[in-house]
Amino acid sequence: MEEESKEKTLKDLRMHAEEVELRYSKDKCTGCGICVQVCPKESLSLNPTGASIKGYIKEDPIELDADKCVLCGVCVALCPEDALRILINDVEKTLIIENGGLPEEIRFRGEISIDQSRCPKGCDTCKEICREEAIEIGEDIVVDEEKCTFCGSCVVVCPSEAITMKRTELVCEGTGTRVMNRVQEKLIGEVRLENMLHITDDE
Amino acid sequence: MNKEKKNEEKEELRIGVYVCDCGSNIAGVVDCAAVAREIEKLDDVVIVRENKYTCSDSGQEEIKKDIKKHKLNRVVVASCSPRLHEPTFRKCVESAGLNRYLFEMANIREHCSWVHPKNPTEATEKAKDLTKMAVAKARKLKPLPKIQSPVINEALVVGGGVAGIQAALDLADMGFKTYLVEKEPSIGGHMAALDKTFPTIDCSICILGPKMSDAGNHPNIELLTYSEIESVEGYIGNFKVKVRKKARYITDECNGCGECWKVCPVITKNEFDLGLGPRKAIYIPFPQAVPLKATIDMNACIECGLCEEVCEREGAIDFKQEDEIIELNVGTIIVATGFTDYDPSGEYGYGEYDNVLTGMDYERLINAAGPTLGNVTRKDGKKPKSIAWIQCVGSRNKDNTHCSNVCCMYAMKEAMQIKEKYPDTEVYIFYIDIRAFGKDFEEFYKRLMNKGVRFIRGVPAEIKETPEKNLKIVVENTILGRVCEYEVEMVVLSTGIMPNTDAQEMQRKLNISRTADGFFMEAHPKLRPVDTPTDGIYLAGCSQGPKDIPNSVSQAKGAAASAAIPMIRGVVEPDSTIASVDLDKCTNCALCAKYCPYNAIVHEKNKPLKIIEAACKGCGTCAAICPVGAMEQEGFTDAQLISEIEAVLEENPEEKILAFLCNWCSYAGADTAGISRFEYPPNVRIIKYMCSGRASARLVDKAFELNAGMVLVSGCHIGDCHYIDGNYSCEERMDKYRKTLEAKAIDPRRFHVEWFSAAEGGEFAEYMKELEDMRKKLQEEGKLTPWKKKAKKKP
Repeated sequence: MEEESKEKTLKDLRMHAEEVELRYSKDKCTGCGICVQVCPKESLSLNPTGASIKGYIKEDPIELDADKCVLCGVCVALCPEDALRILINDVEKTLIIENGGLPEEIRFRGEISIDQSRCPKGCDTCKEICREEAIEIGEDIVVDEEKCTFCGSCVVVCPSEAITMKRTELVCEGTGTRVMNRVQEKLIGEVRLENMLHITDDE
Repeated sequence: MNKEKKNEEKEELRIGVYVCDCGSNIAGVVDCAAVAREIEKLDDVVIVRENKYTCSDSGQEEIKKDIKKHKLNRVVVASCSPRLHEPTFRKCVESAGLNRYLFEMANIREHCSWVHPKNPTEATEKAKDLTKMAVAKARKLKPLPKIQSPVINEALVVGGGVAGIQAALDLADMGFKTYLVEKEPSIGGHMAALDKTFPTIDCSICILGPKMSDAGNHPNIELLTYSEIESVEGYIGNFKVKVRKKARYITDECNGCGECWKVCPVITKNEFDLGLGPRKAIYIPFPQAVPLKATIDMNACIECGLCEEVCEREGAIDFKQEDEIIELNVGTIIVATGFTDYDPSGEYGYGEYDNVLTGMDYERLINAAGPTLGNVTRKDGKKPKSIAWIQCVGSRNKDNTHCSNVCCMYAMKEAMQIKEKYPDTEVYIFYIDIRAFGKDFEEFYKRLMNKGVRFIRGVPAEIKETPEKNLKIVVENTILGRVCEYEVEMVVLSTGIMPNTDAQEMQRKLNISRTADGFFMEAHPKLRPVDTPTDGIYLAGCSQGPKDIPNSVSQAKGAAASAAIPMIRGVVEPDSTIASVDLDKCTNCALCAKYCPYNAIVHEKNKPLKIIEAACKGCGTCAAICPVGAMEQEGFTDAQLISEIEAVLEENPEEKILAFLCNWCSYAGADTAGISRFEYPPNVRIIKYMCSGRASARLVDKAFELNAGMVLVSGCHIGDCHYIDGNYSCEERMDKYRKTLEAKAIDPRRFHVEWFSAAEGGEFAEYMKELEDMRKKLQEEGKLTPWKKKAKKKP
């Protein structure tokens, strides 16, 4: 099917008796970096999202180090655009959701503000990238907080860091699991690009 | 132990010499009668006998009678290697009332008749020399007191495969507390992964399971699984072993119920299934695992906590667990570490083509508890209509010359299983030889042939994958004499048994040796197949060499019995050839204490030097390093070794290559050259010391002073010294020594330091040839000149 052919397999655990894959759809990805932040093995990394989506560079918005990935599915569960899928023997299956580690649907509540003086007029990357069409560019940049999912893609792509976003709450059904708590720790709070760049002590 | 007063040197020496024919082993090359006649001429020799088999009962009786009748106080036997029969003869003389250390041997078999069969005249001259050397040393020998050291009656078995399990069970049944250390989360080893065993086609885990269970429940066995040996110190009777118990993040509360892995979200390859199927981050390797406890693979685990939530045993999962180092104190150690499968990646399309598997892969597929629930299927899920086995993959080639013993039988067993379940399957076996040597093996082979399996004699040159993922095999059918092509739906590579990948590390930790094929070395290939040359350490199973299950079990039982001997006795008598100090000469410089590998010398300011006898292992490094000659190694004193040097260089010294070899490696390597009949020139004269650490400038100087043609100082390879680091100090000293040769007008090409292992018989023989070539050349060039004493400084 056409949609599936645009999908890319990031990791393929191919065994004689079973095949497990992590598939990624660049078309759906908005480069928000949530998957990069929540991956327990830090196996995902973020490339310049705006440039990638506009086609200026050939790299995808995210990259996977397949050796580190353990196909746990946390990224799949958290991706706001469902750009990631795990398939076991060609059947979509995300164990961490099925087994109650993470919920099916996750939404954020938060605050967003734009420093209009920093916004370079003529750039409308944030409006382009917002899948919810929550950003309107007129005299000022205006965000419709009802539509905003606080995914943070606009913060990532803004060239002059004009957008300040803070997630205040994670809304979902159930689960007080360890992994859920860690996800909350990582995502609740101010959305900062630095948090998605895996800067380690030895760099 | 201080040097005794010198009264004993005044005793009248009465030496008895026995020249052994050893059947025709020695007498076939060496003129033993001529040797005997020559020895009769020597001072202090009271009686010389030539006999057929000195080590036999009658030979030994003769020695005992002579000791009594002729009042012998020194005995010399010129026969085989002391590494073989020195203990035999020492016991013999002791039972006749003579101190066992007043006995010396000359090696005129492994080092003479067996390596110079084409030079009987030179070999006879060499035998005379070697016997003279032994007589010279015997004159200087002193009686030494017995040392006894206690044996802890607990044992350690390293490796929990079938051999380790059997050895542990036997020791435990005998009443000894036994620690069974296994690096995987469960015991069972390779046998637990097999489906059926040949030739009986029993279910492997069904026969192993009860033994595993017994081992897990035995009151005398302490299982330390998911654990590895960190370090081993000490000696027979008193080994101090550190074991690292790796964190499995699961405590003893776990009862193996399995609820945890059902909820774990992580999927990774299952090593027990050789990567053919999946497991979770928290797992039990197979259903019959002992202990039946989960393990968490932290590399895969994301600490999501789902397992913790669902686990009904409080405290069974502990994410904070850390590795633990446990210290064990045991009397004996059995090494049953098994083997590593050969990895044929890159050969015959393994790893690339969908349907090329190894023999072990096949075992996991056909096993009902395996990743395909017992169905032998291709990657596309279809049952293959034709299967080909290819023999000798990884074995019998230039990298691994050995035969892996079990592959012919396991391929035939696997083929039998297919033929019995799916008789219409076309089965081919491509072989070089079919080795069906064991009990009922040949009968099995016949049965299989009658089932219509095609045995094709030829090694396939290459395999190509077809678009349908079938395999096209191109092979020369050597019986038809032409190249053929066969297309099959699955190929199984009969991969061989290889030494463990961490064998070198284990070798260093335990201080044992490996043979040329990489497996651990036995003390003697025929007569002591479960002992290692290191007392107190024994071998069982495939760690010693490829073998099948009944042989592994037999060897394990043998190792357990051997290990029990010192533990039942409660004491061992280590060699008395340990260090002794002459306090009158000692200047308290404490160099010896600094270099002693065992910290057996205690030096305190203003106090006389003290030697801890129980810790001294008799390497002789202290004797070599002592600048004033106050430190001696009993049994290898300067006087004794120099008497050998003087005896051998009495005549034609420039013709001779004097080689100092260490008991554990290089001397054993020269023995191996003899056992394998690798020939080399007869100019070599070997002097034995226990360790190359004993080699001193004094000894080499003496050799050059008497104009030896060449001198070789040898020992174990650096890193493998039997006495930890004796050879390091030797290398250091000999490097310094080499610089002094020029001033003594000795061409430095006459002096060599080279290391040989016990397995390197071939290399030793080659090197002897090289040295002789060099010596001849130097002689022709007139370079073998006597040395000049250092010129006095001009005023």
